[in-house]
This record gives sequence, C-alpha cells and structure tokens, in this order.
Amino acid sequence: MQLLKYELLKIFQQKSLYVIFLFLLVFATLIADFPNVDLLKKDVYHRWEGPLTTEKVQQAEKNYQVLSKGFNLENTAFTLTDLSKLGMYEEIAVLHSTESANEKQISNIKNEHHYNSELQINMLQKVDHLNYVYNYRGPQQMIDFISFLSFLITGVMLLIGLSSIFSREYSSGVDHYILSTKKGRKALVWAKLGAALLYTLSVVSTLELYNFFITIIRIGNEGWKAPIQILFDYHRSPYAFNLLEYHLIQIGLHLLAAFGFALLILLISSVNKHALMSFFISAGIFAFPYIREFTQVQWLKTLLSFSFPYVMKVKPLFVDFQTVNVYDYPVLLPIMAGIIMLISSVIFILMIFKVMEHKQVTT
Amino acid sequence: MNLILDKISKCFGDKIVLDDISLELTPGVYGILGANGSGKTTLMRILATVMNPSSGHISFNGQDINDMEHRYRELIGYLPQQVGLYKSFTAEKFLSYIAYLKGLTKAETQDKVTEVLDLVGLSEQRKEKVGKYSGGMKRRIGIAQALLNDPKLLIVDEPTAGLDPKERIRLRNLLSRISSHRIVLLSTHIVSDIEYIAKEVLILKEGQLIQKDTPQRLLNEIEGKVWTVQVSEGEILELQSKYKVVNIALVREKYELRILSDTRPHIHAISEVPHLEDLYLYHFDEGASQDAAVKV
Repeated sequence: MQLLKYELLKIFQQKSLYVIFLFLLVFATLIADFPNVDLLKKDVYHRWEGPLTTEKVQQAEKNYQVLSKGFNLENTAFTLTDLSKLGMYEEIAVLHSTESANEKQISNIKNEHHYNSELQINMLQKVDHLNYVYNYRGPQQMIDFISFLSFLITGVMLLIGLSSIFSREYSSGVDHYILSTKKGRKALVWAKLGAALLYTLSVVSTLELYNFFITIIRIGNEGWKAPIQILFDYHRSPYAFNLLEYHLIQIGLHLLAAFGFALLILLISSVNKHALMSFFISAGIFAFPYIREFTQVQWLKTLLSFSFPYVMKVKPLFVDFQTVNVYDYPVLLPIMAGIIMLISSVIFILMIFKVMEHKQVTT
Repeated sequence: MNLILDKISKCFGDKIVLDDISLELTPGVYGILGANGSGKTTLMRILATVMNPSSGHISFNGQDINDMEHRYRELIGYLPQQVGLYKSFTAEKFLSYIAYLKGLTKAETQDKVTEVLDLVGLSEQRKEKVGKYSGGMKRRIGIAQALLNDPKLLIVDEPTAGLDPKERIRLRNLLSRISSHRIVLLSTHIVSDIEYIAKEVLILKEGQLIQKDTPQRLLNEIEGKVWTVQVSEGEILELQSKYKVVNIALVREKYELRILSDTRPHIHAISEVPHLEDLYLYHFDEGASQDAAVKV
C-alpha cells in the first residue's frame, strides 16, 4: 500500500499533466455547440415531445412544406429557429419511417442465410419502436463526447502521465536500488500497475464528470429513456438499449480499452530507458489505427475496430450489426472487443512482470 | 556467514569483462582495487543482482542466490557508482520509499530513516529536496539508503567519490565500525580508503582476479621494491625513462622521486616501506613515470 502511494505521488506530481488537461478541457468546451443553438432546439423539442401520433406526423409534414417553401424564394435565409424547426420535422419523418425500415430490413435478412442472420433478426426484433418524440440532446451530447473528444483526451493524458513510469527509474539511475531490493521486481510492479489503473480511472472519471456537468448546464438531462436508434448515427444499430444503458456500456468499454492502453504504455516504458521514446512509440501505436478511415479493405477495417482508439471510441462497435465468425458462431463486435481488451491486458501484465523479473541495469 | 563466487564470468558480446572469478567472502571489509574497465563495477552489479553473470554461480551460506531470490535481496545493501535520486523528493521521503522497497514496515521505516540520516550526518537536511543537495550530500544519501535494511552484505561502489576528506574519514570509520558482523565489499580508486580498514584486498585486472590477500601480505610482495631518491631536475627524465616513477616531490630545492624497481635505481636511493598505493601503481599504472605529479 505504501509503494502504491508513492507510485501515485510520482504520477500526480507531474505538473505538466494539469496544464495539458486544463488546456484540453478548455479546447473541448470551445469547440462544443454554441449554447444558443441548444436552447432553441430545447424549445422546439418541448413543443413536439410526446407520443408519435398520426396527427403529429401530418402536422410536422405540413409545417415542413410551408417552411421549406419560403426557402426556395430568392435572397432568403433560414434563421436559427427555422433550422431547429426543420430539423425537428425531419426527425419526426425519420422516426415515422423507422418501423417500416426495420421490418423491411428483417424481411431482407430472412432471405439471406449467413452464419449470423438468425442473430441479427432476433436482435432487430427486440429493438424498441421509435414511437415517441424525445428531447434527447443532453444524452446525445454526452454519448458523442466520448467518441468525439473523450477518447482522444484520455489517450493524450495516458501518454503524458504514464510514458515515464518505468523509464524514469532507468534514466534517473534509481533502477539500481529498485532491482536490488526485495520488493523491486514484483511488489513494485503491482504498485505501478495499480497506480496506472487508478490514474486512468481518475482521467476517465474526471472527463465524465466534466461531460455531465457541462451538458447539464448547457442542454439539460432529459431523454435518457430514448432508444439509441433515435441518434442519427445509430439508426441501423441492432442493439436494444436506451441511451442511459448504452452510455453506461460505453463508459465501461471506454474504460476497459483505456486500461488496456495504459498497460501497453507501461510495457513500452518498461523496456525503454527514455521517457520520450516510450511516449512516441505509444503515441504511434495509438495513432496507427486511423488508417482505418482511409482503407476500403473490410477485414482490415474489422481488425482495426479492435484497436485501442476505436474501442475507446466505442461508437464504431455499435452503429451496425457486425460479428466475428468463430467456428460458425457469431460473436458480436462489442463482445469480441471486450474479450480482446481483457486478453491483451492480461498479456501486457504478464509481459511487464517478465521484463522486470529479468531486467538488468545497462549503465 | 559466507558468500562464495564460483567461476563467475561476464561477457558483453565478444568482450570478456569478468573472467572466471572464484572467491570466498566472510564478515569484514574487502577492498576491490582495479583500474577503469577492470570489472569492479560489473562484479558488484552481479553481487547486487542487478546484472546476471554469463556463467558461474554465487551462493550465500550454501544457497544459490538465484534460488534465494528476494530472500537474498533482503540481505543486501547496494550503493551504485552513480547515485540515482528523485530530485523532487525530500531526503526523508526518498529514504522512506527505498525502505518500503526493502520490505520495512511503516513503523520500522520511520525509525530506520532517522537512524541512517543521523549516521550520514544529514538529519538537519531531512526535509530538503535532494535535487538541491551537493554531490557529497547525494553520495551520503546513497550510503544511507544502502544501510536501511541493516544488510548482511554491503556492496559499495566508489562510495567516497565526491566526498570531502572529512566525509571520507567519517565514512571509512562507519564502514569499519559496522563490518564486524557483515560482509562489506568496497571498490575504490582511492587506495587510502581501504588501506587501514580492509580485511583483504582484491585486485582485479582486465576482468581477472590477480590477487586476494591481506594488505600486509600483499605489501610483502613489493617489499624492497619501493625507493626514494633526491636528484636534480636534469636526472628526472633519465630515471623516468628507465623506472616506474610514482611520485615526484620538490624537497629543499631537490626533487625527491618515489620509484618502483626490483633493483636499486640510483646509487643514493633509499629503500622505503611500501604502501598500498605503491602496490596499486605497481600493478596498474603503466604510465606512472610520465604522469607522476610534482608535489611541492
């Protein structure tokens, strides 16, 4: 326990952590939606919130026609209020069409006979119908923050905070003492692992708290019961979660991947004498999977879905029905990602212990 | 209590740094003498388990230290040649950290840290950050951490480097005092550090243990081979070219040369009582004749 305290102290006394974290939070706040727009949307949602009735659909369609007709005239421009209203009408139209789209998708899959078709049908049948108009902007903001910024800030903070965790000992020469002591090769490694995971937890928790409070202040905290399919990017998702359930799963997977990445940084640090070298190698590993955005090769895309940044984003795992074929048994991508994160974490831990067991001083 | 090294060798690629070292150590101070690159530090690192030998075995009280693992590390105190510190830690905090690494409890740590800080004379500076310490103070912190677990085997690599004469004497006395019930292995370039406290002197040359004996018996080897002679300035060069001149001192407008030679090097040369420094230079200082400094 005493060693854990010291390892935490060594991490948290790095002043650069606080400066960079503050800078990233300010940056995140500045690039978030302009508050006025959110307030306007909030008003519009409150007027249409409630069960999706035929009357509501017809009224929305009528209002849409009237409003968009005005736009066709020359020299006219939409006000922010008009844009919010238009968005609302479009959303009602999409909600209205999802049930039939879902049924159409199910009947299409029934004609296919893939190893995973049955699973997909079962899942789609369980998805809640979108028959209610929600004001879900708050939860949406919180969910988007994880896949848009939180994963990046977490990645940067882990790189800065943990790259030097072992390298510091080698470069300072304290490794001579550490490696010659009773607890220097095992108990200390546990302490460093514990400190790294607690640090990771604190970064993720702080970001989630920031995310929660900034969202509540700006947008509000309503709409958690809406199904995830209400979010545009998740329209095709086969997962029958509401926004609250999904956000909790999202945080869990995000944290699991962050733990895995933290352990990888520790492993790289354990074999590198220079903290900067550890930082750049780890940063390279974190950034490399972005080639997924530029490749059309499906197997490579799927493979890179299991990389740290993409699992930390969480979103790519849930937007569509994707499975991995394990001896003709379909394993859902989020489950496979979770298993891979756990296995890789265990492997990293074993490798760190192996490295430290055989570590020798070089200078 | 004994520590036995059995045919210890260490190679880095093709280079043999330690070659087949075998010896037995029992309680007392052992001084290791050797030139740079002779393998002193490598031998100490192997004994401190921070480096593995390429071949050979080490046993403590009959047990292989590899089998003993942390039970062996529990018994050792190690001061490396370069003292590593966390600059932002105070002396007290740093020593507490090392104490926990050595397996001391919280209660033991507080007492022991106070005790070792007192031993090395840094009690008053215990709350100061070690990054602000002078080189000598850092060295003393290094010595303090080595003593935290009351080691049975104390391995100190160049402990007096950076210490002023007063601190050196203090450390020498400390090592002498604590050596009665433990094995102290001390490497140094400063021969006087071990001259009066070493039970035995180990002489390493190019990775080989060429001598291991008491200082007196080692000095017997060069008995009758140490000479001093007073000469004029013109004779110095001639003597330097023929003999190993280990020291030149200006005494009453004449130059007094200390010479290592099997035969009388000059008609006026007087045989002297050999010192350990003469022995060191006898074995190592190939360029002694050219490098000998003039002392006034």
